[in-house]
Amino acid sequence: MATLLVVTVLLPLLGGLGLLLAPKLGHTAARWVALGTTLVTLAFSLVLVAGFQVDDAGAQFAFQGKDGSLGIPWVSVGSGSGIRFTLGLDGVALSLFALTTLLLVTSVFSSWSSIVDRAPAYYALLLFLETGLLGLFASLDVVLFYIFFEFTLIPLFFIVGIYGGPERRRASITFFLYTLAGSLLTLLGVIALVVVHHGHSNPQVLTFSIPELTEGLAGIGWADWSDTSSLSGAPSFSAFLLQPQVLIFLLLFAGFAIKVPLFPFHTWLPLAHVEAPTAGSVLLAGVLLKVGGYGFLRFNLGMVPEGAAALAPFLVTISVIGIIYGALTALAQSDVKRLVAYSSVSHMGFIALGLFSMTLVSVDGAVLQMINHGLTTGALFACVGILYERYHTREMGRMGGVWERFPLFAFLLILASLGSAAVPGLNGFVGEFPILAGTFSRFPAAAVIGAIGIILGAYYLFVMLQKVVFGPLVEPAGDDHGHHAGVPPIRWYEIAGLTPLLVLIVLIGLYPKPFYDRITPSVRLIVARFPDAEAVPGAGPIQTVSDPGEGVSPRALLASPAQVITP
Amino acid sequence: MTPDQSDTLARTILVLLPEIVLALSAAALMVAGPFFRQGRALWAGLSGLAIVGSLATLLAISGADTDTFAYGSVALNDSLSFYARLALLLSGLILLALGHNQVADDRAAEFFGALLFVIAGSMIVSTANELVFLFVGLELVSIPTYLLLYLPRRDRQSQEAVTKYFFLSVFSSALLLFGFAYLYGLTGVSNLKALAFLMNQGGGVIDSGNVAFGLIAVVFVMAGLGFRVAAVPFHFYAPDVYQGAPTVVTALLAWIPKGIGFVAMIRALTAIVSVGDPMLSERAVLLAWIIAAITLVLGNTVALMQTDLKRLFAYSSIAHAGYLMIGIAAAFAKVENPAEIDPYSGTEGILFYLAAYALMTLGAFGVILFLDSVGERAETIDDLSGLARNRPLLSLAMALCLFSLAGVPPMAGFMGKFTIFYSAWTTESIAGIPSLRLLAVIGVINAAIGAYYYLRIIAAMYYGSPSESTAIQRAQAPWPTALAVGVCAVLSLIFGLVPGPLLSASRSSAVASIELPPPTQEDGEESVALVIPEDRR
Repeated sequence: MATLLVVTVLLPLLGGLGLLLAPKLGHTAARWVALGTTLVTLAFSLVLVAGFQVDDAGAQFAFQGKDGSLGIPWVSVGSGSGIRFTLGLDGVALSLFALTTLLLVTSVFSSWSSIVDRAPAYYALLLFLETGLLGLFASLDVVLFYIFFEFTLIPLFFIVGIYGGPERRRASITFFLYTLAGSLLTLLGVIALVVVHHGHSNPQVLTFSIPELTEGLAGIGWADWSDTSSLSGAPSFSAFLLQPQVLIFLLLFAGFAIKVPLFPFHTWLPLAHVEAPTAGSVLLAGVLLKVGGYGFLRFNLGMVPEGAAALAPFLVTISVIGIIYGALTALAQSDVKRLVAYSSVSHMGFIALGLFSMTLVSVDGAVLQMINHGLTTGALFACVGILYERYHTREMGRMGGVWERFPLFAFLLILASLGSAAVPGLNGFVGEFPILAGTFSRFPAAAVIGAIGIILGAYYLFVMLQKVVFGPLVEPAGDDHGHHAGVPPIRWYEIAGLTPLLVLIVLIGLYPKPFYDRITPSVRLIVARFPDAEAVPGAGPIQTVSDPGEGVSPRALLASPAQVITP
Repeated sequence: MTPDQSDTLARTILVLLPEIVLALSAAALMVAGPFFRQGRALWAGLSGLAIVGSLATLLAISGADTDTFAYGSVALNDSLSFYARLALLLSGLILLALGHNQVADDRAAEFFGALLFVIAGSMIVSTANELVFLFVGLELVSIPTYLLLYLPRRDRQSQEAVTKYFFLSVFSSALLLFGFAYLYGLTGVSNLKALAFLMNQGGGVIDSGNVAFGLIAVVFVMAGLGFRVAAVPFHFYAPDVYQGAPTVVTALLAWIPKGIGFVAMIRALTAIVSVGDPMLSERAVLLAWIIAAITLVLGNTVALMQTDLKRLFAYSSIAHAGYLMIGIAAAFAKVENPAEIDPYSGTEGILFYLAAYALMTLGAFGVILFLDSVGERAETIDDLSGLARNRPLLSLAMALCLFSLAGVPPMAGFMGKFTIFYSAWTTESIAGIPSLRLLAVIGVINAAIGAYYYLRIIAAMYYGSPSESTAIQRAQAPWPTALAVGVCAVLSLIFGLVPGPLLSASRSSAVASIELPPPTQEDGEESVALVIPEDRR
């Protein structure tokens, strides 16, 4: 299995290199090669999902070296185990890993007919991006993680910049620089973690391994490290900021917050989304934003939980602002793609809210919501791409009554929108409800305001549906053709790209247990290190009730926090 | 047994054989030049042979150990000297390949002779263990450089560049000598290892009374070498000279003086100051801190506004001097025990970064030269517009080098920045001066700013549309240029993916640079230029 994981990560890279070496390939051949590669990768990842031990919280599928440390030595540093090429998956990573392989298939389908010029290079970049994403979710070494993390910028830079819309040049450079600036600060944070661990662990170990660092940092005996006062308890603002955990938290936070993006750092996102080709948007919204959430969970919450706790009120505040701000801005858009882009800001706010509330239930919900958001937003962007292919506009005022022309497509669009609007029975609900429930136990006000975000979310999505899907048929005037003749029907590949996403949207909505089963043990491991977990009112009961091993139905899991809060 | 003088001399000459081979060939080329009217291909080929010969000699003598001679010999054959000379020779081959068709036939012999002298001089710097010898090496680089600047092209722009460079270079040499004089005055020895040994175990070489003298030495040596590496405030010649010089010499200026400048700083400053009294090393850290911060900010922000490629690379090379100065600041910090230094020391970071920098800078200039030699204009960013459509491979090579310069994984430039920032972060903070961690933060913010101007070039190559004139004919560049560009680009990628060999080489060099072999002292022995403190008082 360990070999299979490495193969799965590197397979798209090989496919991409093959495409790159054959620039004369026609776009038909190139897309079949890309489809084949992504399908095989998806199949491999499904094998990994099937082979995953459900009740094991640690990283699986990792190579075990002879000396007991994971992975293959890559760069030796001093006497320690050095930087190692270590891949492995725990429950959280597995979910995002599988999501990535699935969305890549959708992206290939959504580029099927729209990318003709320089197609081999395009698909090569797409496959490089897949390797970067799979690698970063599977990395068990901080340096390896960071390399994959930053590497994703390069293919996406070219995808947006070469194949994007009219403002693509500005969009790609803005996106690249913005993300790079943040992630370089994250690099310092990562270095700081290693240095702190090296300086204060006993005996001194220089390690770059994520599990070892997580374990080691929780147990180091450095008074300054474990004592973290909140802002109100600190003597001064600068003293508060200079506490090691807070400082490192903020350094790590810089890169991931831009990636997510959290409220004041979101300005690159609408531009990049609008200018990117459909596949770029699908991947950007579907997976790349999750990288931020994953980083929060793995590094910020996993390694500097005290810092997170000290900053939690602030983080929850900006998450809530993001939810409301994103929703209101989405409401004001007339461009469908922009609307979906801003809805991402709002939904990612929910995910951040769930993570920074730091309860098991909310973090659990946030992780599932990452998957959900990947599915729904990926599907929505794919739908927008299909519309744009037909009408060459994304203005809601210039189209309408799509139902009459493409009933099946309209159904899929409605389903995806409902999922995104967190309608019970679909996936958005099972993700956002635990987030709000968990948040309510610690930050009731934030949960209440966040809930308004759900209402607003439903509002803007329904407004969009009303304008685009229902009502009389409105289509932008065809160029030379007659009024209706110029609109080609929906093709098989467009449906093929959307269907798996929508099946999962319904499936997760109806029966989320298999997903929670895999996520919860790994999340529990991280949550167990949170400071004063016992002090949180009702934390104990929440943990027992949500224990998947006791055969509690998902409904009970969702309902439990509300009961807990009443005393 | 303490080696006597003839032993020392024999060993020194043995160690210096690669330089001797190179210098003799250079002299032979220059003498033969006026008598044989031959094409430049012959001279380039002969120079290539000379470099390969020197390389072979270097590998042959790599086993010659100089530890026992460390306190008497003017040249060392430690790891630092071996790897630095290896790197300089290989980069010399790259420069030769880039420059093989850049000079007219009648001046080719002098041009290649001067190039060989520059390489020999730079190798002397990296092997030098003596203040005076170090200075000789630096001058052996400078003087032929004046020739190189002037030989390929004799127009007014070139003249202005060479005059500017000449005066500033002479001025910086004077500053450097002044600083060296103070270093000598402090201890009474000019052997670098002996200097370091006295600083470390001499007890009271630096006290509160004479710390000012130490500081003067540090400031002036830094100033003199600051010119070579183009660090603020000694950077202002760089843009004009880079722009005015022939492209291949610009490439040489961007790499050789910077490389040896930093190696000389390691040899003559950080290795000596960091093992000495904290009073001096703390002040030196502060000095390097300030220079690094200003160099970074100035280099990167001014580069943002450039449209001329050579000026842009000039400011980018200033910015890279800034990152390297972060490493110098970290390397200045007090080393408790010279026998064992932590992984990711400043010195190690500098050496790794220099290797990566050589590849990516030479590669980028190589692309410009490539376009030059097929007759396409490549002076401004706009000239590169749409290059990817006509020359996909060349653009790919350029993009690899530029991503490496921007420090994006998985390129070698990223590992360089990683090691530098790691060394800054791991340095213990010193009371009274701003933390090196703050410097690291300044560094990463600048790295993000810096990425912008590299991206602009990439964006022009890949997103722009080619102008009419260039789209017609695709002339083929000569193979050495193409090969050199390819090697630089591919190695930039490979050393990013497999940094292990380069890292261990820089680590062992860092250890060697700071290591103080135990002196073999006998009473009454005078042949070894080592003054133990008891004698001195």
